[in-house]
Amino acid sequence: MITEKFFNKWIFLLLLIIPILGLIFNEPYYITLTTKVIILGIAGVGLNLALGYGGLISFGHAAFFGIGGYVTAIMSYHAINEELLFDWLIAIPGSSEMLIIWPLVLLISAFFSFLIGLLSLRTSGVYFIMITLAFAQMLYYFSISWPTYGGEDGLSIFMRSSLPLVNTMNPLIFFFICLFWFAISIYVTSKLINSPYGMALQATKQNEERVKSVGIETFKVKLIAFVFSGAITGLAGSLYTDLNRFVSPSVLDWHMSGEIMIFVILGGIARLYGPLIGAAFFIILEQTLGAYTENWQFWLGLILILEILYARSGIMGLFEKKNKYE
Amino acid sequence: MNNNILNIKNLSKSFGAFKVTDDIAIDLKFNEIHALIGPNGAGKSTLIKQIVGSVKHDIGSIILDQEDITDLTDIERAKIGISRTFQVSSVIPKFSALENIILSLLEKNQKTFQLFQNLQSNKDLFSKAERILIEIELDNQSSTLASELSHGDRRKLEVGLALAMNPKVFLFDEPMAGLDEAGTKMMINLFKKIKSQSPILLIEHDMDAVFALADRISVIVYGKIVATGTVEEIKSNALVHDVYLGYEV
Amino acid sequence: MSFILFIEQLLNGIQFGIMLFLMSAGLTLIFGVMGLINLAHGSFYMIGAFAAAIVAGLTGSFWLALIASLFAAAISGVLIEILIIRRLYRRDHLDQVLATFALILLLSEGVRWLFGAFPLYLNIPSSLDGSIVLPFNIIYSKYRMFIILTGIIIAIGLYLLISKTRLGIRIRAGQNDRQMISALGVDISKLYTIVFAIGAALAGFAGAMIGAIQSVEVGMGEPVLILAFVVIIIGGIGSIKGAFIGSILVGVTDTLGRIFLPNFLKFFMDPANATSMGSSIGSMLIYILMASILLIKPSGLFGKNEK
Repeated sequence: MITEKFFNKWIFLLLLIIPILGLIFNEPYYITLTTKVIILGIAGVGLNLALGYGGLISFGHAAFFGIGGYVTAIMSYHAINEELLFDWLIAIPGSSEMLIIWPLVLLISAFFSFLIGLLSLRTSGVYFIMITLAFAQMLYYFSISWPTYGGEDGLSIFMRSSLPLVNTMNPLIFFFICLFWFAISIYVTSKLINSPYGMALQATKQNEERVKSVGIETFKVKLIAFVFSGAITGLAGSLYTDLNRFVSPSVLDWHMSGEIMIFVILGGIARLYGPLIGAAFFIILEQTLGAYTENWQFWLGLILILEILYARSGIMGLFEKKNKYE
Repeated sequence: MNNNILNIKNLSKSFGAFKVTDDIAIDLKFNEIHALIGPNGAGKSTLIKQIVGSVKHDIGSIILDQEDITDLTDIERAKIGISRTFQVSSVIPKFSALENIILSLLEKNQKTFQLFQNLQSNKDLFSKAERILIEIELDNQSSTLASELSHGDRRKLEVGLALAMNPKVFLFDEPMAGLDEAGTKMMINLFKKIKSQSPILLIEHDMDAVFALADRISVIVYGKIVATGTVEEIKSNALVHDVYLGYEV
Repeated sequence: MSFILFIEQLLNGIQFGIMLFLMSAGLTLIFGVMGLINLAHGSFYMIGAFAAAIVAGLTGSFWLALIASLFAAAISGVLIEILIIRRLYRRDHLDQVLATFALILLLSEGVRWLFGAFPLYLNIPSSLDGSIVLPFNIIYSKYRMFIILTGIIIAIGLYLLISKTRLGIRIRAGQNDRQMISALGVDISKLYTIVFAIGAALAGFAGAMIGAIQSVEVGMGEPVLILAFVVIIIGGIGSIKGAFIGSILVGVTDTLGRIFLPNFLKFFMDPANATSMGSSIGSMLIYILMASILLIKPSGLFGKNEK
């Protein structure tokens, strides 16, 4: 059996090879496509922390993806239009500098996941699933009805955010920026999981009552995972806006939440690189089946159902024996 | 006060019109094993749950080592020194025996919220956990997954989890249930060993084990304590004979 | 803000709530009895509406269309339960969420494949067209009144079913203790299929009724599904009473909120801002309501603790 570590190394290598091939054969489309896979993978890595390792079935992670996306677009919009945010309250200038946007996105996503987590984690089971869904929907409807930033039509930004010394509009350069963030998200997740806190988190997923009986504040444990999870997914949302130079309420829709969950499940829960595999598989399906039929999601649905019923450990589970944290 | 580490007074709990525990007063002294016996449905489990904090009592007070813990949550009580085992073995199934013990050590060693430190680098946690496994004679199973342990070993592991907390009291809920003769004997020896570390309040149905272990026995029937005394006293108590029907002393 | 307008909007809110009830009753029953969270419930709403539109198109009869919606939804419910849903009862919530989400994709795209992306139309029958005059000289849409009355009749029917029939007793027992009723010899799988079909039929019926005042299109069930979730969170999962009260609460809050909030805000800010802020907050109002209720009662107004 191939071990997970071995598999992970090969995935990373593949990730590097494809865009370089794209460069060599002058097909920037494939570089952009791989970038999209990586960004969606990051979103999944975020969710995986809360869901895969923490057992928190959040059906509202689109909220954080969208928050990251909108913060980026709004800051850019104000910078380009040279307007001030919140003119009537405080004057904040916009910015289209990645180095300013990223910390802001992380902070704001973390803040919202803290708030939503604080309220939602008081519930459990089905209530938790539905309340996270409902919070995301709340943001979704808000974004549709708030006209300033495009409402239902969304918001375009003319230029991708900038980074000193490099040209972020170059697909390969932007690819490496996203790859960098993917590495960071994997690194942070890995650190958390392998720490004493990570042990408490994973134990809580399996038997919360037992963990409480040894004196551990499981609410705090879950909240911390939720906050990190939201921040990582939020950052993915920011990169997504920069990728497309566009954001719209659809990134907040529950279908987006469902898709991020699909990446995590398809790839294999509680596997570090699982969400990336899941995202890759999803995009491959979209590109191949989607070329034949508009209704490709019919097949996606079918594959998913079959997978859930018969191949529960996901794609990585097909290669490797069950890892102990599933 | 005096020699009691745990002091419970007036503990009552009703579910609707049904009074499950009725004005219970019970205490636990240092270095003792205090067994709680009674017919099914007498309220033993609910009593434990109220002490542990998972069920909210209606009235009463619980004092642990001079400190009033009546208003503390279950987690706070665990942190302050109340350890327990569950009627149905409750462990972390996909962790090894060793990892289960380490989990139990986290809080006391203030490691629970160490987010970025590598768990493996905490050599002291590992050695403490090893020592506990040796004490409960489970060291040969240290890397076995908890779900793959035998029933008896899992029961032992739970005692180990309680031990690891270095608690003030042990609350054991039917720890012998499902054990064979060898397993029961092993548990009896284990309890005798650990009672000097912290006293044990024990719910049990296995009368032989109770008589072999207990320093004191309390009998609970219909939510009330009807007798408390030594093994001999309880064995010869006429009231206990009368109310604890169908039971041969 | 005239009295007449208020009553009219209140009635709209009640009508909205009654339809939500049909959706949520099924959802909460299915969860209460089978412990299953079913995201695909909105698909039955869609199937019912489509069946109605097609039958109405073929026969010209609205009433046949309504009956068709019940049958179509119930039959698809039975099929889906047998093929997929019953394998999910023993699974954890995550699997149920994902599998039923996948089911939505399957059903929505399937319907789109069969009938194309353009909406179908279902017309209000001439007997129900126009308006009626209510007390206080209030003029209200006849059809919407019909919806309210039909909904109330169904609610009463459901109540009688649950409380007075053998099936109802089995359902209530199943909600309390699943293992027990199977030990007592009740045919669990048949019971589950029936409950699932009832839920699906209710949803399909609601879809058909609303299909006449909105358009019949793929995905029409999804916004309603989300609202149904909000309803059963507020009302308490597993409680039909909670679903009823929750639906009316949500229906009225949402309708009145959207209408009156912008007007209310006009006292404090200029009309343009008031309208946009009002409609934004209005659309979030029920979620704010839900969050507030959950803060006080984490298992909803009438919720039982989850097993």
